[in-house]
Amino acid sequence: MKSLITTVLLILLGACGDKSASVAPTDAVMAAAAQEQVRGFVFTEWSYDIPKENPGECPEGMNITDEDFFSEEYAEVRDEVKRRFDAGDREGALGLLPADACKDPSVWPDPGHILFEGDASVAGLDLDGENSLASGEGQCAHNDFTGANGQTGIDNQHYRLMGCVKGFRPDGLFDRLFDSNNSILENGYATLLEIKLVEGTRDKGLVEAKLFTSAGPITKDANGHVVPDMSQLVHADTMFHSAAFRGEIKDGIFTAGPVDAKLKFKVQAIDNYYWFRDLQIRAEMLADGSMKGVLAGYWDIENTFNFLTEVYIGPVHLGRAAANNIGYQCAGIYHALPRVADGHPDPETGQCTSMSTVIRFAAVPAFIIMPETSLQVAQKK
Amino acid sequence: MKNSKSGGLNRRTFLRGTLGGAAISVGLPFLDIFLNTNGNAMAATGAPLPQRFGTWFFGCGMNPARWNPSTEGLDWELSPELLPIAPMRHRMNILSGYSVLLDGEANQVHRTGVFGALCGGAPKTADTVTGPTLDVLISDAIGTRTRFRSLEMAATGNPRHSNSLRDVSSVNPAEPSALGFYTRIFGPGFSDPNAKDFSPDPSVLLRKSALSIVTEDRKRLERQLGYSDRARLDQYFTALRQLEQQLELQLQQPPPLQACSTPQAPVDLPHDTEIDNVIANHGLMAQTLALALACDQTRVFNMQFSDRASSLRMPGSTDTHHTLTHEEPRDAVLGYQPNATAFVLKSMEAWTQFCQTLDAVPEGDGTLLDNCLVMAHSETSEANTHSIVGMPFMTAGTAGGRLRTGLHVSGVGESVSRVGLTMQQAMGLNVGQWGADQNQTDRPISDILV
Repeated sequence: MKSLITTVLLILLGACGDKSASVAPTDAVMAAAAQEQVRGFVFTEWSYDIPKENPGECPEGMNITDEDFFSEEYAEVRDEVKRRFDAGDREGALGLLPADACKDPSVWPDPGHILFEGDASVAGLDLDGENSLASGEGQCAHNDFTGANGQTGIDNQHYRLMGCVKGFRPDGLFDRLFDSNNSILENGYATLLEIKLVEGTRDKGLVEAKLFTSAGPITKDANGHVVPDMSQLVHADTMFHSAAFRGEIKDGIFTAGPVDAKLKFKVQAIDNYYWFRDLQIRAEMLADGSMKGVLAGYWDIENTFNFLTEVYIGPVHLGRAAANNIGYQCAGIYHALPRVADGHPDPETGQCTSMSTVIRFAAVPAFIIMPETSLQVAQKK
Repeated sequence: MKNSKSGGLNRRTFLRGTLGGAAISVGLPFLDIFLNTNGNAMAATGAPLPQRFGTWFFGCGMNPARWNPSTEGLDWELSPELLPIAPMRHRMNILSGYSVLLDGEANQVHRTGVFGALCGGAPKTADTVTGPTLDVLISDAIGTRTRFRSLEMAATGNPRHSNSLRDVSSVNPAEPSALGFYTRIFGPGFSDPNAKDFSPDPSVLLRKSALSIVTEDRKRLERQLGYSDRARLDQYFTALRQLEQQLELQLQQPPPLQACSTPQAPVDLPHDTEIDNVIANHGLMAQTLALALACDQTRVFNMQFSDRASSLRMPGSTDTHHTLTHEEPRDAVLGYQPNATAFVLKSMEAWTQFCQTLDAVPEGDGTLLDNCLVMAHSETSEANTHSIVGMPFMTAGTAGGRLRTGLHVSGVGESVSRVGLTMQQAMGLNVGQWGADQNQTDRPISDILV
């Protein structure tokens, strides 16, 4: 039944020439969802946690950029860079600048990166079940945060990494991007969550959940607002389908995980994916059928560096330009990542390979349609 | 309708005399006597006054909360960043809220916004654009009977600062120098439509003749080529045919034009992006352009006040407008980036000055601006986030009475293609639908169309 529905939907999508991969659900789709006690959601908000209240202090100051660090070298070549740039020789212009650690982080030694050392009202979950201290043992030792409601043991090493970066502060570049919700509205893909009741009732029971990337962007109305209750086609590449993971709905709170998930993200000059490990979800189920909460898990640090630096406009690599705008040095980030990593120690070296991270999200109901043909792509690191 | 009161006078009548023994002739200013009784067509030929289309580009957008007017319709309330246009507001329209709908494509920063607006859809990749741009579409319709199909200018002094293209490989380069722009129009090759005598330029005759020979060769060559090569050759010869048409015009005596006079050559100013130089260059280019339009040298133009990802900078500063939009903190009290916003205000002042320059040239029963439609636009709304939601558009002029002015129309959530379709219909193009994918529309902005 479901494959028939999917086929019909795919024909409809092709006929309309609509790449959004979302259409109004048919009666058959809605009946099938009700029968299987499956609820689908599409994410309508997605942001790193940047606390507007009490973002904490950076007594050593903010991180600097390559433009600041190499200010003398930049000054020496500024005119020629501009001349080449104006003449259209963009690569030639960039080639005059000091070696670009955003392309190859090995070209510079660690210039230093200021980590956020204090306390701040960050969101998150206690992922490791401990009140961790940096003075503890092991390379993964770190200081946990205390949440706004007094919850202890919150793991959020991503904020330790970025908390003293200008673009990550309140009203900084990331904050404004997330305020404009462009991580949803401009994204070439959407993140989908499917919850299937296993035992109990919709309001109190055990569930099985899956995360997906959609095949296309989210559906918006004429005012640019996300439209709920639409059918969203799942991406054909199974790399972007999580395994099923257990969860629970109780007292209006949905909790689930852990699970590993790769989620595509295509916004402006970034076309990449997040690789989260041992991801957990905690969200409040709201009366209108939507949910709002956090994804908290461990972000692979190699993927993190790629995500920050693989910035392109056409063939031109603009990782350093992005770093200059946001307020860090790629070489600094590269060397700081292992210092803040607090998850998944390498079995041989003991070096942690992931860092705890929090994503704030909101989601509205949607009908999730599996693709007729999935690409069986091996999970890549 | 011919004007019976002309009594033998026409626009080619000259006042003649001598000065220091040398014969001089002075063209008459444009008089009502040269027009029909309605003042909207040439009495001598009955031809309507030419209508012109232009774009005026400013980079890095604006602050939506400070630029978008809070009220719509006539007598809309001037917003802080639109205060500079106050003297010309009733000759303009403000079109706010129109967006490039991404349709699953990435927002290619500083490109998607401008080419989404000019081509009716989001570019598929960062290095491709599905042309032609709006100005080229319009010049194909109205620009084939003038010496220049279109004129492109960059007040920033960089010929690469042009958004006008037929396809991604054939960008129309901008004239970067006010003096160069003047020489191109009023230097060798300029044929004064009001001059008494006319003789074809021998060099033009030679070029046209050479092209005819090439055309013969083309037929011979085509017989030896495969399909794809023939298609490629056809594209090449399409451009050559356009050149032939332009040359043909130069071999004909142009009709007299009321407002046409040859300006003095401007001084050559530094070609860079320092704001004072850009404003000065822009002003000189605008004056030359106004007379080029009055002399019917072209009917389509594209003025770049600043470039995409605006490289404007204040005197003595190395921070560009673009850099400031990303790196300057928002002032906690003001609520915006004061230094970046200064460039927005400069841009609005320059736009107003540009329109005033066109409006200062009397033509027919109004001014040159009345017979123009100029669309001002940018590549972003809020540059800090590269937003392409709620892009800023303004129009000036009525295209000979085809547009209402003085209005603010909010098109929140609507595609920018509606703006482009409106421009084409206002310029008389027989286009009912325009744009690609989600941006396709068959609804012009009827509020401003007469």
